[in-house]
Amino acid sequence: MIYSYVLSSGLTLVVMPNYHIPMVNIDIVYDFDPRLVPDGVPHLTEHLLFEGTANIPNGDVDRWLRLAGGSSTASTTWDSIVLHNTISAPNIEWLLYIESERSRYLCDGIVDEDIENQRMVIANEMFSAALQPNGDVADRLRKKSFTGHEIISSEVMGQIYDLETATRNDICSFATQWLQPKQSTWIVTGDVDVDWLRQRLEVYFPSIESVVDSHVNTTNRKPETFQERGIPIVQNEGHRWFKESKQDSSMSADRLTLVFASPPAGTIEESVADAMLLSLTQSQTWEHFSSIDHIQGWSENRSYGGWMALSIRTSHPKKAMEELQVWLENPQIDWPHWDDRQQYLVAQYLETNNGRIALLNGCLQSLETSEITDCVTWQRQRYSGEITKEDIDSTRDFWDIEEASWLWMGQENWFDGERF
Amino acid sequence: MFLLLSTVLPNVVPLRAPVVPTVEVLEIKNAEVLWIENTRSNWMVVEDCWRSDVLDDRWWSLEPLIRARLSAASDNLMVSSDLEWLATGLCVRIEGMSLSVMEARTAYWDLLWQPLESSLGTTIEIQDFRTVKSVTLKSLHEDWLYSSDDETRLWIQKRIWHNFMLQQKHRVVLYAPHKPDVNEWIPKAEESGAVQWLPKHQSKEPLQGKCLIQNTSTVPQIAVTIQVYFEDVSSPQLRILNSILGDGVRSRLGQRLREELGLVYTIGSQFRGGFIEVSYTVAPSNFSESLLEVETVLHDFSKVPPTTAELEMARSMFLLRQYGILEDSSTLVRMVGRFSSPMGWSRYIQSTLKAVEQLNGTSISISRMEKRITGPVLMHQLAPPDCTVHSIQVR
Repeated sequence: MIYSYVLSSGLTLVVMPNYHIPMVNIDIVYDFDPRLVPDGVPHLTEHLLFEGTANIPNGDVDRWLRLAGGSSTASTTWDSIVLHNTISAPNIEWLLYIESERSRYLCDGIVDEDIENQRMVIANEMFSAALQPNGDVADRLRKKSFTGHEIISSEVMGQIYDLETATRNDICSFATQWLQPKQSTWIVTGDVDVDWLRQRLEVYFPSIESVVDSHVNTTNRKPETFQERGIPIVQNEGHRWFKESKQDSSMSADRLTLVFASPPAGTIEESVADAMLLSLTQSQTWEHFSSIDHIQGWSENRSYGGWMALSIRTSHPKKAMEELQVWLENPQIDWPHWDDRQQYLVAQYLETNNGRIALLNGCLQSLETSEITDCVTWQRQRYSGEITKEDIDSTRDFWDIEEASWLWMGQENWFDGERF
Repeated sequence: MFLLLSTVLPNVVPLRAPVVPTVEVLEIKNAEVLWIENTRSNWMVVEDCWRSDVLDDRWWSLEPLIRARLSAASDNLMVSSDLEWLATGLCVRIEGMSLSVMEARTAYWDLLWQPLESSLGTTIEIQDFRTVKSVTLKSLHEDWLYSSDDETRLWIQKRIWHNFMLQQKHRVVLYAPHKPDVNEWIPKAEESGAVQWLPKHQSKEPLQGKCLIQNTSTVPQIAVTIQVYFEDVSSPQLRILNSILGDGVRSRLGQRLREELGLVYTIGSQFRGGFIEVSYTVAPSNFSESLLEVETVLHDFSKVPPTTAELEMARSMFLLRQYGILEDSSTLVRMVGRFSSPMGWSRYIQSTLKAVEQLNGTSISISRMEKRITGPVLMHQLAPPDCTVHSIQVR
């Protein structure tokens, strides 16, 4: 059973109880608009969330949580900061206290020395990321491919310059504007009394305005198309780059990476694109390609769109592109396998608290909060039989090689691209 | 200036030791099957564990190869494996929805062994097996730590893997909604006199000096591993010390090197049986200072023994992990396989909790440290005086 509420403070609460062990997992997603925020400041703020607040001594956020049988980590994407918390069930109030402190009094607890130290920690983090195969490349590709889209092309980590110029005021302004209940979604699973939690959250995050309490709806249906939802397409302007891989010790093989704009989350095109991605990355598919040794794929979607990428290991990029083009024109999708895959993934997610949170978080990317109660049921539906030729044709538009960005990392200089 | 507390600070309820699950033991001729009932869903996890009396560094090269073989079998199964250094040997797990796992199990043995057998006598490189071999600093460092020459690797496969391991009695841990028919599940192996459980484990090869440096040409970052040996400290106590030393950003190492000095992004330590292994990566510009600081933190153990707050935090973190294991079926199976039985796991929990009490007010001394450092050519200039430097080519 999943419960969803919007509290009087504007805080969105989604709860999926599970009483297997006396633990509670709480992810808190703070959404922000990257267009209104200086580059790098969200990431720096994320690091400072673990230092102290006005009422929690410096460095004690983490210590207090651990003493209470809990732990906390965080991550930053281009449009959100996500806190990942675990706490023993009897101490859940302890976590509520800490989170209310982080949300309301973060700025009062930050000392300049913390800012300086976390600047250096992030510089080390950036340095480490740059050395990881694919990791840094993926992020740079995202930023460079969608230059016309202010949100998707935005910075996450920030450059060194951004870190050096970020001020205490920037951090405090960010916290004051975006680390607020109305910007947050709490995704909770584990041993928790839903009514109790809701009441306590009203105490820790008091009302700021009168907000409607919404609940329940049904979505047992095939998703809509992106056109039915009226979502504009994210444009990829088809950039071309090259990089000589043999001079880069982090890569051991020539590799072609293609970045496409992806269909918005929750649309039927997203499902079809996912099925195509799954089929392409199956060895049964690419083993028939004479020029391709291996294909990996990944995607990141939001309700307004996102991106998907293929990383192709090949020494013959031109031929690889031709073979890929042929497949994309007439994609052979194993639909029963895709249906099985969806059910397998949902079953896997439901096995653990963290899995449940991942599942709910995925649902929240594509569904309204009021629809979330049926999310799991919907995810378990086999609806590939309802997918039409028009749906596939509409999805193929996203897989247009001409509009994709390419990054060729290899010896063969087969096109005059810009150096990456 | 402190602001008015938004609410009254709640009381903390200390964590209690968890109750480990019931396990049914089913014995057959060449295997021992431990069944944990899954009352939650149709999810299933099966783990096969083999013990070996020749467990040494060279097994590390085989583990990813086995995993890659099984992973390529199906998208709808999750495959993982690990080498349990002190307790078990090699363990391989497959998990998924019950029906899929049951179907896969039918072909399990063929999947596991036949491809390997067909590879015997040829030179095997791990990256040939459908995995994309990406060289990271970590893998480079581990390659160096655990490398073996091809001839030895082939010998291992021919002589031990097939002739020894397959005939060895093995343990199956099953997390499933229904009790298995073991005669259908476990294929018969040839009889062998080698059916026994007790391993004679060989430790990693000792260092030739107190500090070895591998000089690489291309990777612009330095990886450091320090093995730390303590005087008169038991294994459960080492587990707690490890938590205080290097578990998280508020551990002694994390606090000093990351939070106070900003020298690294991640630093941590791992309990390795008889010693603790500190590991981190660092930019060359921070290398010398980081090494000095790590040594200072380590030596401070004798001056500042574990405090009550540190011990309490280590206790909480240990118990939090045990609850995490109970919840995650894959780790649960792994834990049961590692300890032979739930009783073994209970003893493990109790002995670790007892260690918390024993360490209260106890001074700790380090008996020796061994450093392994991998980094770029300028290591010649950066190397501490007690280090032996040698250069190798990155493959």
